[in-house]
Amino acid sequence: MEFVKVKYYRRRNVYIDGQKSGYTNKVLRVNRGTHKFELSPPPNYTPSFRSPFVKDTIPSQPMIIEFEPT
Amino acid sequence: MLRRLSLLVIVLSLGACAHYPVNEKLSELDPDGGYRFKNLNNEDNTDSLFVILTFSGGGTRAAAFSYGVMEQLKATTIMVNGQPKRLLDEVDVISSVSGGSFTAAYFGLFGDALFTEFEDEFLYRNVQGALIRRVLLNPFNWFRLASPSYDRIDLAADYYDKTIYQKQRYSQLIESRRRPFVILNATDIGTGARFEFTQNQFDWLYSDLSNYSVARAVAASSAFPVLLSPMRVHNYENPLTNGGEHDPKFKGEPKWLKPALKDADRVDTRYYRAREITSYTRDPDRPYIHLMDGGLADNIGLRGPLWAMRSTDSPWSVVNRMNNEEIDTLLVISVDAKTANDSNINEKKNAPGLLKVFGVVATTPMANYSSDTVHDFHAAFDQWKKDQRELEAIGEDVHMVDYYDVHVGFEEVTDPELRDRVSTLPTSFKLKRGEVDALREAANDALTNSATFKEFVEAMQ
Repeated sequence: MEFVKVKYYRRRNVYIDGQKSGYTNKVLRVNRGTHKFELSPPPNYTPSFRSPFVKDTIPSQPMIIEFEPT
Repeated sequence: MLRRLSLLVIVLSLGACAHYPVNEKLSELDPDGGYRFKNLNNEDNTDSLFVILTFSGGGTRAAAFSYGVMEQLKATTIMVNGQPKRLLDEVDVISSVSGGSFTAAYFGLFGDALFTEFEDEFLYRNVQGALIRRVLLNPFNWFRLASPSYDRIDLAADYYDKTIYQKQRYSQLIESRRRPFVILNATDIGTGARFEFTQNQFDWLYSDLSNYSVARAVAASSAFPVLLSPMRVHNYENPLTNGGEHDPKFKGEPKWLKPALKDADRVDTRYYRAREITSYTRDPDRPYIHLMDGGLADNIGLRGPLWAMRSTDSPWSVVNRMNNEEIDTLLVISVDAKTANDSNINEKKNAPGLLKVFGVVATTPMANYSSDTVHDFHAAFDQWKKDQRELEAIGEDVHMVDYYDVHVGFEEVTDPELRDRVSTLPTSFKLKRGEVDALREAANDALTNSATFKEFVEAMQ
């Protein structure tokens, strides 16, 4: 199991590979591999998605994935 | 006389034209329709307590042992949102193989009728003898079996359909919209992969599961090698078949699939799972899929739940549900009717005979793989607990989940006499009434004496 934290200035739903999977600014579990991360609508954030290869994380050192408001 | 003879010839000729029921082609792929976990409602079943059951293979022995667990879940009362409730009514998913699939499918279709009808309709019945009689004593079946499109597994499925499952189709499970989500597992012998009877799996065949007989799914799940023939299902031309290029009309492809195939990290199980799935849509040489006993790929029924608990990719991912903070308590009960090893092989000087060796070859790899799966599962649970503690320790705002992992096997039966009795029962579809009742009692003993189960029940009061 791998760990990510999707950072955004406020709480929003996170979508992993098109499925609702947790909230911004919280540590989320995900399996190893390339995943597409998006936020819930409206699409007023940038970039529109990120697709990192998630690996070699631990709960205390999750991969940080950042979005900014447009 | 001539008229009677002519009639007989016609009837027998009809038998020779017998054809297995063909799974239907989809008219249009609907990722929101059909038998999928997300289409079952949760009005009477909370999401905060998520309960998964897995039923192993082992013929009637496995069916009776899993039935005994179901009886105990019915008798166990827990408090949910301040109201007393049967634990049975909180079961969300049952994943089963082979003998365990008989119990799982019956409960999925008929609910509480399991406890009034199933014993006589299946557990106490000599199903093996009935199948043999149908093959040997019914001339009409000789002609049916002579047809290249009708085999022993089709005969077994017809028998289950008429005598146990009342000709019910998956549409019945879809229309009831009731949990648990029953996943009957078979093995695709073309790839060796687990094959589940859900619409998510049938999407890849571009086939509609809704008119498919539940009895046929049970038969495929329990088609023990050699004794029963493989079950055929048709793999239709899929919008994705065209050179493997994504067709925008094809709405159903999960978004994790393409990245998984492109990942350079090809030692990962995710890549191989993506390869297995896309072998149905992107390999034009697979118009027919041949299925056998689910135990060949996973004789404990845990691989599907393990995927759901380790991955955001599964159609009913438990990881996604945990990320969404929907689950407060996760209970997994794996019911394992594995018997003790046949140690008397080593008592004799003479090498074991062909049949004995065949028995070892047919069952030992399954048993070893099952043990590894159970081990992986326990390890995953331990890791989740550890990760949760670590997040809490560093001050992360973590949604705490209580995990309960219960293994119900013959080793867990506390009564030694009962344990010895059930541990040596054969894998067959014919057990004596007393043997079935001993298995029910053993399941009750193993479950109610499980320290983890007791801890769970106490926490839920």
